[in-house]
Order: sequence, then C-alpha cells, then structure tokens
Amino acid sequence: MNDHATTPPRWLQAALLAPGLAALLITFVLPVAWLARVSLLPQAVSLLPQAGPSVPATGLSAGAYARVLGDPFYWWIIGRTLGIGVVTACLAVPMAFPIALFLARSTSAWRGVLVVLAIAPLMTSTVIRTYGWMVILGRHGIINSLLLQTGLLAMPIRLDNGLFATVVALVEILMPYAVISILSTLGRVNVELEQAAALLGARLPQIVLRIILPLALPGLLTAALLVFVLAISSLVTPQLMGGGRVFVLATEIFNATTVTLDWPFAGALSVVLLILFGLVISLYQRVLARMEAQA
Amino acid sequence: MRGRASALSRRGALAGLGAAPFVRARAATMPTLTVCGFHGPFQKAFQAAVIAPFLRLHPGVAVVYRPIMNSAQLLALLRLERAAPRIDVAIADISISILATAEQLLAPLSDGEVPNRAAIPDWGRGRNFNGLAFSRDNLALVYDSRVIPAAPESWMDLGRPALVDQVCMPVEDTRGVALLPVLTRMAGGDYRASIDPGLALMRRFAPNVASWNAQPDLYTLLLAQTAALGVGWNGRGQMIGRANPGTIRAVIPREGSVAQINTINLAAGSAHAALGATFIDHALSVETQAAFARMAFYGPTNAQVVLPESLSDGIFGGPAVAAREMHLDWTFISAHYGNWIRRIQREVISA
Repeated sequence: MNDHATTPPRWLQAALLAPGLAALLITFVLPVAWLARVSLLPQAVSLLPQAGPSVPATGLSAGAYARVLGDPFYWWIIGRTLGIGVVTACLAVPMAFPIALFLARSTSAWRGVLVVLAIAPLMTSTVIRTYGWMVILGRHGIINSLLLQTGLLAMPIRLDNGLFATVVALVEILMPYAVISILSTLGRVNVELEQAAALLGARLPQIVLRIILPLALPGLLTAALLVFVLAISSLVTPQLMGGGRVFVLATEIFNATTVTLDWPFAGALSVVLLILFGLVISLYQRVLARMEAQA
Repeated sequence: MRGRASALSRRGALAGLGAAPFVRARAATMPTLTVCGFHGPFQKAFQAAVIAPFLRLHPGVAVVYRPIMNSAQLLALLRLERAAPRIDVAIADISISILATAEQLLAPLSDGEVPNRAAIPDWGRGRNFNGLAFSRDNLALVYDSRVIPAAPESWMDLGRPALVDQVCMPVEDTRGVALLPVLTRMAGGDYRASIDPGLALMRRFAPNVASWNAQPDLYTLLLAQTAALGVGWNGRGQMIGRANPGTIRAVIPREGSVAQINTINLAAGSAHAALGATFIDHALSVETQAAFARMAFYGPTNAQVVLPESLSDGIFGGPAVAAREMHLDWTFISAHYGNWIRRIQREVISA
C-alpha cells in the first residue's frame, strides 16, 4: 500500500525522464554515433589529389582502426596518455585531501569564503591558467629567475615545454575538482566517530588514517576518477605546456582533424579514447561495489 | 567641459539607441558577403586593404569577415555547409584549394566574371583548383633582434650552439612540410625521391629546440623572449616586426626558401555569387594588391603590380627573394602531407 503511495506511476516516471533522455540523446548519443560512423569511413578525406576527386566515399572500412591498433607509435601514445592520467590523479588527490579535510572540519566564520577560494580557479579559463604556468615555468619565468638570482643556476633550465610542465599544470588545474569531490564525501562522514576516537586517546594521524580515510575512500576514488578522466581528455594543457613534445590522444585527434584532415583516423582515435573511459569507469564501479560489499 | 562632454555622449547614445532598429533593418536588407580568411594580422590587413576600399566602392553592400585558424578549418566549414553555404568568398592555402575544388566545394571563375583573372600568371590559376592566387609568402627565419643583433643567414643557424633551448620550430604543419624539401636539397637530396636527408638535418637542430609547437605561435614566443629564432612566414614576421619595432625580424636564408600561395575562391552554391566574383576581382586589382603588399608584406599575384624597391626587396616576387626561390610541386607535397607530418613527429620530435 505504502509502495503505491510513494512510487509515482510509470507514465509519470517516463515523462519525468524524457527531457533528460532527450537531452542525452541529442548531446551525447547522436554525436558519438556520428563519430563512430566517421571512424568507419574509408580514407576519402585524404590529401591525395592525384588519386581522384576526394568526394566523401561510400561504404564502411575498419582501416582507421587498423592504422591505430597496428602502429606501435599509437600504442605508445595510448600508454603515455594513460600514464599522464594516472600520475596526475595520484598527485592531485593526495594534495586535495588535506585542503578538503581542513575545509570540511573548519568551524571558522570564513569557511564559506575559504571553500569559494579553493574552487575559485575553476572560474578562470584553463587557457589562462595554462598561460599562467608558462609565465611561472618559462625560460625567463619566476622559478628560473629566482634560481639564477640566488646563484643556484648559471643558466636557465627548461622547466616548460615538456612532460614535467604538462603534469604540473594538469595537477594544479584539476585539483579543485578533486577538492569538491572529497569535500562532499567528508561532509557525510560522521564527526562523532572522530570525536569518539579522540576521547579514546587516538591522535590526529591515527584518526585520519584509521577513521577518516577508510570512510572517505569512495570519495577519494571518485576524485581520482574525475581527475584521471579530465587529464586523459585534456587538450589545451598538453598542447601549450608540452612544447609539441607531449603526444597524447587528444593532441593527435586535434592534429588529425585540423592539420592532416584525416577525419576517419581522428574518429578512430576518439573511439579508442571513449573505450578507455568506459574501461576505467567499469573498473571504478567494480572496485566501489567490492568496497560496499565489504562494508 | 567634462559635464558637457558627458551630456553630448549621453545624447549621442540616446540617438544611437533610437536609430539602432533602422540601422539593423537596413543591414538586413543589404546584400551581405561573407568572406572567410585567416585570423590575426592577416585579417587586420585584409580588412583595411581589401574590404574597406570595396565598401567605399559599393556602399549598398555589407561584408562580414569570418576568421579561421587555418585552411583546414575552412575546408571543414565548407564541407559542413555544403548544402547551404554561408561562406561566399574563401581564402585558403593552395593545397586546400586543390582539395576543396576536387570535392566540388569551390565554383569556377571565368575572365568575364573576374576581369583581373587575366593579370594572374598561369601558376596562379591552375587547372586543378578553381580559385585564383591572391598572395604569396615565403618560409623564413624569424628572429628576435634583441638577442640576435646580426641577421642569421643560413637555415643552419637553427643549430647554432649559442641558441640551445632558444629555437622554435613549429614543424607539425605546413611549415614543416615546406621546410623539408629545402633541408633535403641542402643535404644533397631531392624531396621527390626521399626526405630522409631533410629529416636527418632537422634532427640536428633538435637539441636547440625549446618548442615544436604552433601554439602559442612563434611570434608570441619571440616577443615574450621565450625563443630567439624560429621557422615562420616572412610576411607575418615583418608585419609583427613593424608593429613591435626593434623586436622581430624575418630573413630569407641564402640556401633559398619556398613560397606558400594563398588563393581566393568563390564558394560553390554561394547565394551572392555575382557579388562574390566582383569582390574577388577587386581583391586582385592592381591597387588592392599593392595596398595589401604594403600593409602585410605578402607578395602580389597580379603581374601588373609594380612595387617600390624598398618593399619588393623584402617580399616574394621582389628580385632579392626571387633569386632564392625554390619551386615546389605542391600537388606532390599535398599527396605526402600527412605522411611527412607523421615522419617529423616520429623521426625528429620523438627521436
């Protein structure tokens, strides 16, 4: 009886779901289907004028996938993309955790302001923030200038234009997402458990390691997933901070789309990236389900 | 006085607001030509030297300039808008013009529609592209004269030991594809046979390279003193140098350089085809070509244009540059474009 009273009728459920599903269909499913179709086109969009008019060809071909999967260079790029995502997540989450913990447990009247400050960088464009890192890490940047002035260096060293600069910028740029994610989890952790532990003589490191961390683990995993996914799909930061040396899937998709005009290849790389997302998300869900089962 | 100025501006603003609907209505009834071309300094020069005089000659017409990052983006737009083109006139690299013509995205132009077509040499109205050559530019060494007071003379200066980590080589695009034949010839080879010698020479410059990136562009890196020397375009380098005196300069190395041709094209299916052809004719006229060359340092394509010696010395078509010109087979290069870029990525940048 109660169930009937609380569960809305099916038609209402469907009506409520319809706008969201329609939006998802238009903004996600259809573009992805189009992308998949492009990835299966023969390489008609080629730069081979002598091969005849390159009007869009008909038929389907797995040629673009064969080129991606049959070339060690692209396996290397896939590995590097995943590596950058893992390193960025592994650095951003531990750095975001103390900030989120401080904000979650702060009783200061300024807490609201501090939370806004922690996530304020998200209000600035990624491009601007990446340019900021170029100023800091550049040949005549703040760090090189300081090291030269203090006599620790005789000549500027290259801190920008490479993998190091890319990871540093990505960690800083994506950290606010981790802070938000962890903060929301910590808000649900019962503070009385920490107080009880403290009353029983536990010190702060023990409370953090044995009570807060285990309870916040799902949130930490979500934060890591968020940072990882954003890092492996990031284009602007590897493009600007990598100095053309950091090849990742996003930069290759960009090049294939705008420089070599190889759209089937760009489509195939995009689908590979989507599959990576899918694999990581399913792995995350399995880990989360196991944790919940153990709890 | 200040109060009066404010009152005047308030009155002006009110009058402007009152007139706005009528201005908008007039603009809506006016034929509007959409011209798609490169962004940045090119756009600035094109608007001043080509569009502004055209509007003075045709007061009943509006021209909208739609900036693009590069020719590939233009091709993408033409493909997407194939059924209902919103671009009337398109400016593109010759390689993209060839491709867009093959895809039937560009309309042919006749001498009747564009009388100035007759003044364009054969190379500028090729059989395999429907557009017409509008401007020419050269690949050049672009440098910061604050760091390198004496102009570099050779492409080999890219490997100068004093310039470790101060060179910018954005070679993952047309610049790399254009530089390879030059380097291949310097190493005693022929790019049609093999680009291996050119790639080997490019690899020798790698230790000096701070950035292989096209973004942020070479000119920004030079102005910010993040790089001191790089591979860029002569016209753009000179134009930015003029806007920032005592900083950027461009030079054609003694081993020679190659030309990049920009074409002006009428989009197939344009709703303003006749007006578009008139605009293209205007862009190719002697006066417009000379004005654009003076403003943007791009070489004119109209054979009747005579430029002052001071200007022609530094741009394509001038005697000094012509003597160092290396002619490229762009159809051959277009066919190998993607493969060459991939080889640069693997055998030079990642090596």
